[in-house]
Amino acid sequence: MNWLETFKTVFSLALIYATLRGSVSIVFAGMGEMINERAGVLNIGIEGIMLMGALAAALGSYFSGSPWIGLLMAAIVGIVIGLIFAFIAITLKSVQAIAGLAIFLLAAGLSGFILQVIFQHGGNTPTVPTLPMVRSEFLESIPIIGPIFNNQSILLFPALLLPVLIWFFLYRTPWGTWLRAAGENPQALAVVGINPITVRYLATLAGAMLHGIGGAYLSISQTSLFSENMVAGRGFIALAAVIFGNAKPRPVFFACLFFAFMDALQISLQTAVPENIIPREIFMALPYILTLLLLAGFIKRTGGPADIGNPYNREAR
Amino acid sequence: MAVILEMHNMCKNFGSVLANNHVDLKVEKGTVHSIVGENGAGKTTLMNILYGLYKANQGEIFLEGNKVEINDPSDAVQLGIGMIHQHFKLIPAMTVAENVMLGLEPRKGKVFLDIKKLNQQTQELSDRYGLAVTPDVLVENISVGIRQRVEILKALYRNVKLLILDEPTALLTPQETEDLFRVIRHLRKDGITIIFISHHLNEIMEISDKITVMRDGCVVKTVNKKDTNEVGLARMMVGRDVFLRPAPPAKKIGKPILSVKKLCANNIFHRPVLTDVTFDVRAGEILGIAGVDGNGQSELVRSLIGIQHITSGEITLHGKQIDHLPVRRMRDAGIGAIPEDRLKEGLVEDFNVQENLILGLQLHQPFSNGFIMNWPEVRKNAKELIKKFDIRTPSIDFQTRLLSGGNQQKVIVAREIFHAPDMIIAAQPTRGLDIASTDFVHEQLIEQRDAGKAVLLFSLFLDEVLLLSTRIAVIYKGKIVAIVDREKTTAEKLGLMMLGGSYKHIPA
Amino acid sequence: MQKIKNFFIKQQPLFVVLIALMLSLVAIGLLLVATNRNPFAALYYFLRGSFGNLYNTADTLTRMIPLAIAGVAFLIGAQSGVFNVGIEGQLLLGAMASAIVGYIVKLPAVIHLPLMLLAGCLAGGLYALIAAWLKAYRGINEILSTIMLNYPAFFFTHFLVLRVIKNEGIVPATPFIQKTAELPILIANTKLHAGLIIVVLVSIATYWFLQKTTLGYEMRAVGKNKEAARYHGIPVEKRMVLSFFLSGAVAGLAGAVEIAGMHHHFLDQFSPGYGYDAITVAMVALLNPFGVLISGTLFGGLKTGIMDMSVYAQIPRQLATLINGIVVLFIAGKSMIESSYVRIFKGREHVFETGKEKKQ
Repeated sequence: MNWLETFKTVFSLALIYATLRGSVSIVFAGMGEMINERAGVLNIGIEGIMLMGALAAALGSYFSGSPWIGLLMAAIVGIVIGLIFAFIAITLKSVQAIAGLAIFLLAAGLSGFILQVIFQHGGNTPTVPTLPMVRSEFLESIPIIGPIFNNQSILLFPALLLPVLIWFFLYRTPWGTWLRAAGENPQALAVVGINPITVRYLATLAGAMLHGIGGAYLSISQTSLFSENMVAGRGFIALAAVIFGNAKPRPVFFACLFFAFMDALQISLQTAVPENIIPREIFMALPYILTLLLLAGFIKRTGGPADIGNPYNREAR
Repeated sequence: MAVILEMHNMCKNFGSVLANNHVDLKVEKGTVHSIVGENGAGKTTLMNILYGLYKANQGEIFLEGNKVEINDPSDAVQLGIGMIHQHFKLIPAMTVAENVMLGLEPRKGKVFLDIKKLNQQTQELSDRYGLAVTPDVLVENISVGIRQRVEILKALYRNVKLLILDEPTALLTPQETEDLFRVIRHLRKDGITIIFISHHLNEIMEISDKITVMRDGCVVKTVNKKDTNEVGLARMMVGRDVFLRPAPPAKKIGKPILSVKKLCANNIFHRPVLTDVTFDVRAGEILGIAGVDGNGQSELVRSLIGIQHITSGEITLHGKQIDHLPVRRMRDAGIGAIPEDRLKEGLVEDFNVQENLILGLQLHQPFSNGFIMNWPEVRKNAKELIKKFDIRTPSIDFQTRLLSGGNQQKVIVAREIFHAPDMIIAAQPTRGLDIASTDFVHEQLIEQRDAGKAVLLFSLFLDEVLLLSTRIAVIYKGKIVAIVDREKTTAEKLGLMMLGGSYKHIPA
Repeated sequence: MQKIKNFFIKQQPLFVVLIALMLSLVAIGLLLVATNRNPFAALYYFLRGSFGNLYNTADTLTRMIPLAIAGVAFLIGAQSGVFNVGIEGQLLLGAMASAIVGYIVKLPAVIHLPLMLLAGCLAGGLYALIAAWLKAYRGINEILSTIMLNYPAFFFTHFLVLRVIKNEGIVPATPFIQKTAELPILIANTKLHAGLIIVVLVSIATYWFLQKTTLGYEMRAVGKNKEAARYHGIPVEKRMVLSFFLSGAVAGLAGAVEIAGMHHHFLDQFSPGYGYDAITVAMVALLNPFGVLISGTLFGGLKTGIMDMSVYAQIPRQLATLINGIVVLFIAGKSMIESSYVRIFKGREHVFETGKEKKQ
C-alpha cells in the first residue's frame, strides 16, 4: 500500500468540499442549540426536531413541487415542536432533559408513522425536489478556494454566515444581551422589568426553527428524500459541538466544522484505506469521546454561567 | 422636611404568621432612614412590599403625596424606587456597564448596542457619585464591595429617588462599610432618600438621620438619631421584660462534653464567617447561642456536624477530636442534631414516617445488622416514638411530606433526642411551630438536659434562649462575644451584644 | 368520604400515571382517526395479537424480558436520583461481552451460563462507571453524558461484529455461542426462554435490595433528598456511583440475556432501542421493580400486537415507537396532571417549596 498515494487521495480538496457539504445541517442545529443554551435552555431533543424538520421539508417539497415550500414547512414544524418543548420545559418546569428526551422519542416514532400513513410503506419517501445548488464557472476558476465552494447547496452560505450574525446579535444588540442574561441570571432580568420566561420562549422557538432547517437540509439538499433515521446522530453531535464550544459562536462553529470534518474523513478513508488499519467507527465515535473528555477534564463543575448540565428552570422563575 | 414616602396601615401575613401588623412608616426626603429590628420583625417584608415583590393584604402607599399601586418591581422602578438585596442580582459573566444598563442600553440606530456610550455613561455616572467603578470589567472579577456599588449604579441609572438597602453591610469588610457610608452620604447630599435596613447598632447610629424600630411585625417607635443611643435602641428592640414560666434551673452540671476551640471557617468568597469560636458545652446544661441570623450560626452548626469545611481549630467530643472525621463518624461519635431547615436537611420528604424516624441510624442496631434492615424493629421504634412524642400521623406509612410542619419537626426532634447518646444540637428547633409544639420541644430539651445530656441550642428568638438556657453565648459577626450565666444577664444586655453594641455602658 | 379522599391522595403517583396513560391513549386514538383508521379495531387487533393465543402471549413475554430487565436497570438508578439514559450502550456492551464469553470457552452449562451473564453485567457496570465518575466528581449532568456514551458503545460493538469477531454468513454477527451458554426454551415451539425466570429473579432481587438492605435505604435517601442524606452521614457520592454501577450492570444483563436466550450470538443492531424503551417502561411502572413486569408486558404486547394491527387494521408498525414517545411526553408533562389532581383532592393549590415567597 502506497502511503503517500493514499494520503494524497484522502487529504485532498475534495475532503474539504465534503466537510463543508456535511457541515451545513450540523451548523444550523448547533447554532440553534447555542441560542437555546445561552438563554438557559437545554434541548436534548435536537435530533428529534431535525428528524421532523427533514420529514416536513421532504413532504412539503413533494406535495408542492417546490423545495422552498419544504424549507418553510421545516421551519414551521421546528417552531411548533419548539413550542411544545418550551411549554413542558419552561412553563411546566419539568426537567428539561426529560422533556428533550420525550421529543426525541416522539419524533422517532411519529416520523415513521407519518411516512407509513402517507406512502403506505416505511423506509423512505420517494425522491423529492431539492433546493438549488450554487454552480458557477467563475467560482470554479478561483484557485483552491473555488472548487470547495462550488457545487454546494444554496444553504451553505447562510450556514457560514449564521455564526457571524448570531455573534452580532448576542454581543452587539440589546436583545442578545437580554438573552444572555436570561441564561446567566434570570432574576437580574426580572428586576429590571424584562420577563425571562418570554426571552426563553423566544430563544427556544428560534433555536428549534434552526434545528428544523438543519434537518431540512438533509432531505431536500444533501440528499433528495427522507428516510427513517437519516439524522443519524447529528443532533447529538451538534449538542456536543455546543458543549465543546462553550456556547460561544466562534468555537461552536469550528467545533461543528471539526465534527463534520471527522465524518467526511471517515467516509473518505472508507474507500482509500483498507478497513483493518483504521476502523472508521473510531471517527464516528470521536465527537462523543472528545466531548466527554472535555467535560471530564476542562470543565470542572458545571455550576457557572452558561451552565450546560443543570436545567435552568430551577431558578425561581 | 418633605415626606417622600408614607406607608399606612400595612398588613401582610404568611399563613398564620403576621409579618406586618398595621405598620405605619413615614420617610422624609433626603434623609437616611433606618429600620431596625430582630429577625422576624418584619422589616424586609415591608420593604419587599414597597418594591413590589410581595403584595400586602392591606394598606396604602403614598409616594410624594400620591397614592400608588406597586404590583411588580418594574412598577417600583418606574416610580423611582430602587432596592439592593443581600443577594445581588448581577450577571457575573457580563461587564459592569452591561449590568448597570441592562434593559435600558443606549443604541446606535435601533438595533445595535452603542458600547462606547455604554461604558462612557457608566463611567460618568460613577464619577459623579464618587463610586470609582471601571465600566468594562467583568463583574465576576470584582470584589463584593465593588459589586454592591454596581448595584447602586444600577439604581442611579434608573433615576432612583428612594433607595432601599437591605442589610448592605452583611458581606462587607469594615473598610468597605466605611466606603459605603461615604457613598450614602454623597447620595443623600444629592437629594436621594435612603432606607437602611440593618441590625448592627453601631452602623445605625453612625449613618442614620431617623430610626424606626420594629418588633414582631409592629412598629415600636420612630426616633431621631440624636434622641437615642445604642442602649436605647436595644431596649426598644428586645424590650420585653416578662418571660413566662422560666425553665427550672439545671440540677447537676457535669464535665464538658463538647469542646470547641478557636474554630475558624470561610465562606465561598473566602471571607471569614467564623473566627476563633471557643466554647464548651457541659453535661446537664443547655448552652444557648443567641444572635441575629447571618452572624455565623448556620456555619457553626454545619461545622459541628461535619459538613462545613474548617480552616483551623478543634472540635472535641468526650475528649476525642472529631473535626476531621467524615460526617457519619461525627454523628456516630454521639451527636444528635436537629437541623435548621427541616425539609432540606432534616427529613426525606418522600420517605414515610417510620423511615424518617431512623434516618442516620440505619446502620445501627437494632434497626439493621449493618447490611440488612430490620423493619419490624423500625416499626416498633416508630410506634413508640409516635406515642411518646405525640406525632400526629394517620399511619407510620404516611409520607412525611403530608404531615404538618409541627409534626414534621416532631419527627426530627423525636429521632434525634431519643437516640442521641450524649450531645444534642438543636438549631432553630421551634421555627415555624405553633405554641403547643413549641412548648413540647422545650419540654423535651429540658428533659434531656436533666437526664445529663449536653444541649447546644441555636435560636433566633431571644425569648427562647432566655427561657431554656443555663448559659448564654452571643455570636456576632462570626465571633463569640460573650458567654454568661443566664441569671447574670438580661434581655437588654444580650440584645445589645447581639446587635454589635458594647454592654459596658449599661448600668449594672 | 375523607377515607376515600385519603386513599386517592396517598396513591397520587399511581393515578397520575394512569391518567397520563389514558391521555396518551386518547391522543393516539385521535391520531388514528385523523389518519382514517379505526382506533377500536386497532385496539381489538392489538389485544388479539398480543395476548390472543398461547403463541402470541409467549411472544409478548419474550419481548417483555429485555424490556423489563432494562426497565429495572433504569429504576435502580432513578431511585437514587441517577438518570441513566445510557442503558442502550451498556446493554450492547453487555451483550457483546456475553457473546464473546459464550463463544470462546467450553464449560459445563452450570458454570458457563452464569459466567456469561456475569460478563454481561460487568461490561455494563464498568461502562456505566464512566458516567458515574463524571457525575459524582465533575458534576456533569448524567443524562447528557450517558446519551453521549451510547454512541461510542454502539460504534464499538458494530465495529467488533463487522470486522473483528465475524461469523460467516450474510448477516453481521458474532459466531454462535456454545450450547452450554444458552438459556433453554420454556414452551415448545415458541421463542420464550428461561430469561423469563431471570427477569422475575431480578425484580425480586432489586426489590429486596432497595427495600430490605441498608444500602438500598441509603441509595433511596440520596435519590429523594441529597442534602438530608449528607446531613445524616450518608456518603452521597459513593452511593450514586454504586447506583450507577448496579444500573449499568443490570442493563448489561439485559443484553446478555437477549443473547443467551433469544439470538444466541451478537447480532448487529439486535436492539431496537430497548435502552430507550426501558425508560418509559420504568416510568410507567412508577419505578417499582414488580410494576416493571406489568408495564414491560404491556410494551412487549405492543410490539407483538402491532403485527396483527398492521396486517388487519392498516396501522403502521411505527405506531409502537410513536406510542412510546407520546407516553413519555405525557409523563414528562405530568406536573400539569399533578396540579389538577391535587386541586381536586386537596381543594387548594399545592405550594411547591421554593424557599421564596410568591406573590399572592
